[in-house]
Amino acid sequence: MAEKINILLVAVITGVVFNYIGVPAGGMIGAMLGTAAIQIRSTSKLVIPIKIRRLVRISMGTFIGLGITAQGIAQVRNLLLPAVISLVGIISISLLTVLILYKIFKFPLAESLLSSIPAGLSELSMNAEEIEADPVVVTTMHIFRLFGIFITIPILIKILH
Amino acid sequence: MDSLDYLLKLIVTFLLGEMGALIALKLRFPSAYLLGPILMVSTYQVFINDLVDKPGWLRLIIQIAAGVVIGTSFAKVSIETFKRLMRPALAVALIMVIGGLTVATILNKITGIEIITSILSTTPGGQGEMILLAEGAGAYTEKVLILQLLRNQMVLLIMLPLSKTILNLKRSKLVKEKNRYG
Repeated sequence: MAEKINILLVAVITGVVFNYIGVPAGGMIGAMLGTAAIQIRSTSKLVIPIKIRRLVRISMGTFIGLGITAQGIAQVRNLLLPAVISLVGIISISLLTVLILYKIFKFPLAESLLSSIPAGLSELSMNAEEIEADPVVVTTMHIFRLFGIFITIPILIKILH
Repeated sequence: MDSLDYLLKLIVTFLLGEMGALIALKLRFPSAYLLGPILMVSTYQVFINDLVDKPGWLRLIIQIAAGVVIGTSFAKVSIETFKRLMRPALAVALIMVIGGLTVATILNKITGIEIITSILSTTPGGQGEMILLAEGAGAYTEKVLILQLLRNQMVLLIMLPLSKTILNLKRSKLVKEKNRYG
């Protein structure tokens, strides 16, 4: 129990520090890194119950919803072309990733395919068993993808600002 | 009195969010727990009335909570798996980041969408987290929201059946070869 409280404390401290030094979404990035750094070495893993995860998701949605205004929506027009460009681009990247995992890293085809689809972890883990891919491998690959993105993108945004 | 009024409005806002999630769940919306509250709260704001201002402390709490949830996903990864998959996983992460940035640059050049909004719209991270990042970075949240949501659902809709088809083709080819030789 004490170790789990420590994990939460570290998350809060790293979140506050990252926020203070001005990293975009610093609270999230700091807490994520703090939690992960402790989790990977700790024997007592902190597993967030599904109800709390959903509550966090609902709070995120509520908070995001507060930022959406009539004025903002009025300015969102003609997103068809950006959506098509984004989709074609992401699918091309996914297929390239399948090739690299399958040909270079000699992953089984099922795992190469599922590890390369950039979508929700839960949907992919559910499908992993259906197509006989190892869910641990698929989940780990996606966790790395998310961490890679959450570490590099805020830094890049900070530089561009 | 003012702070009590604010607190009440905040509670009403979160209750609206909760209600949105329940309705979205009932209607079988994708990402119901995220999309439901977004739709409910923004619809209320656009058509009825402004709810509450977004205070910095609330943003920080929600960001930290989201960070803890993502960070704890590492509980599923053992040190052995971590070491075994490190190289391919880093390669995938690198391709996704560079690929996402390339698509963002193309999007920026062709459509004129501002570069930070483009990056946050095309990078294949979690949709909720990318929108939170957009919100924190002062990007165009509405565009990021719509493009991330479309990307996530369409990728699942296209890539999952495509993956199953590729696997079935590969497996039936293997069976044919096995029958032929042996």
